[in-house]
Amino acid sequence: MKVLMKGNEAFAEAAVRAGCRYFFGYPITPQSEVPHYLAKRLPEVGGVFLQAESEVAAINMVYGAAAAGARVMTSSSGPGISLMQEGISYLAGAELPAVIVNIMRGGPGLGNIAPTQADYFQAVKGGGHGDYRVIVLAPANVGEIFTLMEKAFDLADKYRMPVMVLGDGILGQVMEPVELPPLKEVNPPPKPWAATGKIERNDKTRRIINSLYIVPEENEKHLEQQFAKYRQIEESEPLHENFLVEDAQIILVSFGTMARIAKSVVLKVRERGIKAGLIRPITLWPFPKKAFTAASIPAAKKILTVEMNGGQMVEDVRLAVNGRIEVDFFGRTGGMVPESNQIMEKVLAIAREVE
Amino acid sequence: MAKVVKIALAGEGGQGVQSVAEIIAEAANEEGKEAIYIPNFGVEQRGGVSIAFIQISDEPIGSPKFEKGDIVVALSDRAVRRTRQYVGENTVFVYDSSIEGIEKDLPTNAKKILAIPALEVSKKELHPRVFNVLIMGAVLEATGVVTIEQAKKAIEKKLGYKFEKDPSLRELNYKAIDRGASLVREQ
Repeated sequence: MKVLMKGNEAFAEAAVRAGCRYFFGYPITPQSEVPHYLAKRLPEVGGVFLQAESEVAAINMVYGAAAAGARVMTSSSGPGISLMQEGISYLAGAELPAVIVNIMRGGPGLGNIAPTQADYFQAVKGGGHGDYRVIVLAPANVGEIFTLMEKAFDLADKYRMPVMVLGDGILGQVMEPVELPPLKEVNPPPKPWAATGKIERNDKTRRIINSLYIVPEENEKHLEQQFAKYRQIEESEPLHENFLVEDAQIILVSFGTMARIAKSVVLKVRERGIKAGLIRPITLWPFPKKAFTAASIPAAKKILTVEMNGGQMVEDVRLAVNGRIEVDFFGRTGGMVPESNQIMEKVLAIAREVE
Repeated sequence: MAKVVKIALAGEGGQGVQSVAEIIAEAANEEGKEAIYIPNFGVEQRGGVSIAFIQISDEPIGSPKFEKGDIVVALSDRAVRRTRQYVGENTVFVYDSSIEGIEKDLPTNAKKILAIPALEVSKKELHPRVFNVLIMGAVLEATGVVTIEQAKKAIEKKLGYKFEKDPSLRELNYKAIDRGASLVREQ
């Protein structure tokens, strides 16, 4: 039986089902239903919900819980995520697993509470200081929130690094039916590195968790290990969805809820005989570059990236095709959502061009 | 019902359009249909018009938002002006007949325009607090997206705890939904 569920509540319930027992955060629209839900839910499963005094405090509490080996998360939106960037950099530097949910709203600055995808750069290109990466997952519907939240916690533990799940205001606020995955026992991998206070007899090693590498040679060595890890992730973890791309001459590229609108455009223009398709990156980092090889999109003549921002992921699309195909962009920004008829006009213009 | 039925409900904060939208989506889900409901959450927290977008279909639904509704309901003067953009040639536009000063603002391109005395009926015959449930009855009668019976079950699910304490509320809500449907039938 499907249940009707709001996106934000799905992020929260999915975290509980993925074995997350600790949440530290601070409310902000349009994601406040995440802490609202967890404030009630986590105590039911023996977990801890804590509303911190600020986002800065919250992310450092996440750091503490992660260092002690817990499955832990926080969630926020644009301005709050910006405040957390220092902590996220520290998590990356200290190789700590944690999940951070960002339900994007209109920025920069205070902006507004309308849906955008304007934090793509911040999520994918770093955000905090230093040479590091964060795995970024982008669900497009309420059902996928469940699969990707579970994946986020697993990847965080597997690679010992922060994972960001990037949604937009639409995904946070929408209610739709979802088949709840069966409850199952969660067995996170052992964390022998964690500072639990419980050290085996005869074990003389101390558990020191920090990101301080004062000697440059040591820091470089540490970072080289991180980069080896990042290369492995780029090799094995990219995910994307293809929709009618095999014979597509025009390839749309969108992530998150924007991809749902783009998909409806693909269907509409196909009715007019225009061969369009859609690539939906599910992992934004690692970016699914292999989806853009000549073998993957053999008929492609032009690519159109559609985003709820002024043009951010389009840069990664251009890097992926490396000049082989022209990449165009259509977006609305500031909290405005591109409408399907606007995108369709753009696709029709491209279709006349490539004919 | 192969196509997606698109419904926009708009009113002032407190008129209960979001609650009604959730109940309709819940009822559709219980009937095994696909349903999507999203509030227009951008501005109403700052005193703007509250709009709920609902889509119901037998097939999975793509885009959570839509450009033109099959039925657009406006419950205040500002809501009438705000929702004109969602009205197209296939739209049934419903507004409350007690709203004043909007004669020039009514959409001119709608398939059909219905003025229903929902506010007056709820005040005189029922209770002002079930105004939104009466509107729900009208929407269901106009669209047929879910049965009145299923909607009553969804109300029971959402408000059952209140009905336990005061069973007369159940009767009041059920009456409101039936009366709302009759207002559209009489048109």
